[in-house]
Amino acid sequence: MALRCLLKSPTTSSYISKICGFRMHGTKAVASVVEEHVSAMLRSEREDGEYADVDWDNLGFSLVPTDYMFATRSCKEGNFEQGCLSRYGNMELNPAAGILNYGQGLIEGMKAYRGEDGRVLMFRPELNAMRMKNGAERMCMHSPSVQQFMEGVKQTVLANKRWVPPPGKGSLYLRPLLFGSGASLGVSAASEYTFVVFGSPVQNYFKEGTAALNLYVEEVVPRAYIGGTGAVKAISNYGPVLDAMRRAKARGFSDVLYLDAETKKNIEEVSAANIFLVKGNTIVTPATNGTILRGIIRESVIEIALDLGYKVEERVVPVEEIKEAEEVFCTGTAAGIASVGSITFQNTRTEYKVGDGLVTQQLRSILVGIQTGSIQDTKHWILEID
Amino acid sequence: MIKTISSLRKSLALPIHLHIRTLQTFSKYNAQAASALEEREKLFYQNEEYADMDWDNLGFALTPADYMYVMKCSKDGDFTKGELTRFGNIELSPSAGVLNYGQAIYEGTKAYRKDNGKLLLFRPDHNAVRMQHGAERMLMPSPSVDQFVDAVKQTAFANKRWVPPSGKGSLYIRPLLMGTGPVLGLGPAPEYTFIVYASPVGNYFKEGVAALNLYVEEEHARAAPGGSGGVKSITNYAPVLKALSRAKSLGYSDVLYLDSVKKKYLEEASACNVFVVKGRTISTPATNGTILEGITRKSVMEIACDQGYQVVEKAVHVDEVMDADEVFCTGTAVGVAPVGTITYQDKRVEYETGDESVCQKLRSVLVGIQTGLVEDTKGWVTCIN
Repeated sequence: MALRCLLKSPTTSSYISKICGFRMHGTKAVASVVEEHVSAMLRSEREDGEYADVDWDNLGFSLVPTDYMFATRSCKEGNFEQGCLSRYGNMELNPAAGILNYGQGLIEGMKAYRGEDGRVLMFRPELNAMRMKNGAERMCMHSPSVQQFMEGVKQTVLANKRWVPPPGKGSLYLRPLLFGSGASLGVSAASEYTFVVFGSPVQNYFKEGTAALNLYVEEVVPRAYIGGTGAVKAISNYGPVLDAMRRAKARGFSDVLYLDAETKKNIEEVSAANIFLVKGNTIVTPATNGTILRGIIRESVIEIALDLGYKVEERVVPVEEIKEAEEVFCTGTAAGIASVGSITFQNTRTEYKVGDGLVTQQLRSILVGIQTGSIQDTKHWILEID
Repeated sequence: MIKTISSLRKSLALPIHLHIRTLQTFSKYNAQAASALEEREKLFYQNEEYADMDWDNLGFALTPADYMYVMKCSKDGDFTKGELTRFGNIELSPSAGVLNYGQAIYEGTKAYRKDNGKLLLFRPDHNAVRMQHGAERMLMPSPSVDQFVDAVKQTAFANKRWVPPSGKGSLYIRPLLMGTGPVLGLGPAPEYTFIVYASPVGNYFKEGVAALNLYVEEEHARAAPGGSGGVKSITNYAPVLKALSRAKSLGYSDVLYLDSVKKKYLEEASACNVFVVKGRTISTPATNGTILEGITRKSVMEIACDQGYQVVEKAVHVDEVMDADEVFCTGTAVGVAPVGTITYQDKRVEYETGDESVCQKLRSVLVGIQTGLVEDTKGWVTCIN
């Protein structure tokens, strides 16, 4: 009874830390009894209702808090403790934490889908784990191992299973977040890191829904520069582009397409998605040369396209080529494969073919089919969460 | 006269600093009373309570002072009245804008203790304006200048026992403005929190007051045109940790960054601006959007002009740095720090340092003004008690 009250409390991370504390301080017997109770409670909660009380037909991409989150912390030597679940709620941070003062943080983005057969599936999660690990190295952070990352993600999905939308209604978006939680006054890497995973049910990322996007080519604000952090999913890439996004959205555009910082002549990517141009049988995307995030959907779409017999080029893409493309699409975990209806560059608007029967739709159908389990997973991209 | 003061104090039963203010009006007309008053102030200062710190060995690690200031607002709203609270953990949603998208800016200012015990702030209104400018760039509402300065004053005063004795250091004050409301997709947070916390500090660099050894970084830039380098965004700092830790592991104090486009022009160090001295000319990179406009930087430029130096803000080619007589860094945390050597592409150049250097002359004037030893004719110093 006490445990049930404990777990329903909004800010119980400190309580769960105490449970983890039992483990840490060697009273393993007590810890395992408590964990057994927690697992039993989670199972009974899941059985109570298959789905959370959500309007599944009207999901957008704003935060819908779910039941549980996962957390673990590193110690000075850099190893992460075995993490644990707690009720989703506020965390406590030192005001001098590295992430708050110096932006030392990395995010990931992943989705859990419910297949028609009821299985809960994830798409290439180990790639997110490795990308976070590489990002941590760039940002002088300790990172959880691939195994720890996967464990955290799996536990978060399972515990929030009732928040995975019904088949075809969206997905459970997961946000693994690694940040410097230790205090530092001068500019320096934190000595302690925290890794959390939380989730939210989502459908379409853009407010256009599944309608084609209208992009604006930004010439003043770069998203990244050579030697910066554009190639890793550092939080420092995002805050500085909010202003460019706001200006574009105020003029009716869906998002911003950024150019390289050095020459301002080549396209790079969109605020939170990679970009592809289609002309005839050739699909072109900017090469990931250190300023562009190597998207997991990007990589998967390249492989699907090659399988289908398209010629795929990863190279420098001069901005003028947007005028020659027949189709354009964006890729991202959050964005999916999003059709682009137009790109505006220096007051010239170029429009593209959208709709069924096109390359974009063909690639999208296959990707979504694999992700939701309706197409056979011959590439072993799918992880079933059970 | 001393007898009169102490009997007045006993009768009025007010805190001593209010007595002193009351008596100052009398003492304006009585020089003898004025000197007696100073004696009284010094006595009070000696008896004032200090936090239990080793004041002779302050570095730049966090020693949280007792109180912090907290104020909140919504995205389209105004900051409401904030309040002091005991320093401690703050609660944040895991989906807070600052954690997921780096939406935050910070400031750095200091409270100094004058030799008579008074606490002084140095141009906090400039930090306030800089934070407003930064907030606009990062799509955040910000406290007004008055709210910011008031918050800093309240934090300094509440933590006065943490302001080191005169000459032992200062109370470093850290205002921080962050997007704390929840976001999932990339966008500005719906709610913001402004906090101010503080810590007593000594020298920023582990070299203490010894000259710095800098390394010119060619691989990692600190900022790019159109980016956020010109504001004090938290997003400017984590990306340079790699270059900074690499340089420190090789024995350097800090990194000098070059512009991201040509990789030939000096910008600044990780947390301070840089100046190059050649003869009577002092040059510093112009703040054209990629460089932070330091408050110590602008103050030193004015002091140097007053002293008859030619002060030039321009694009400073790295070759000019290697040819300079002196180089020094400026920042709130670092003060005015002499640079002893700079290493660029395996070439190491040494500079003049020491008591007769331009750097030391400028430092003495600045520190003198900040600590109340030199008359503040420019209205840069605010006394808070």
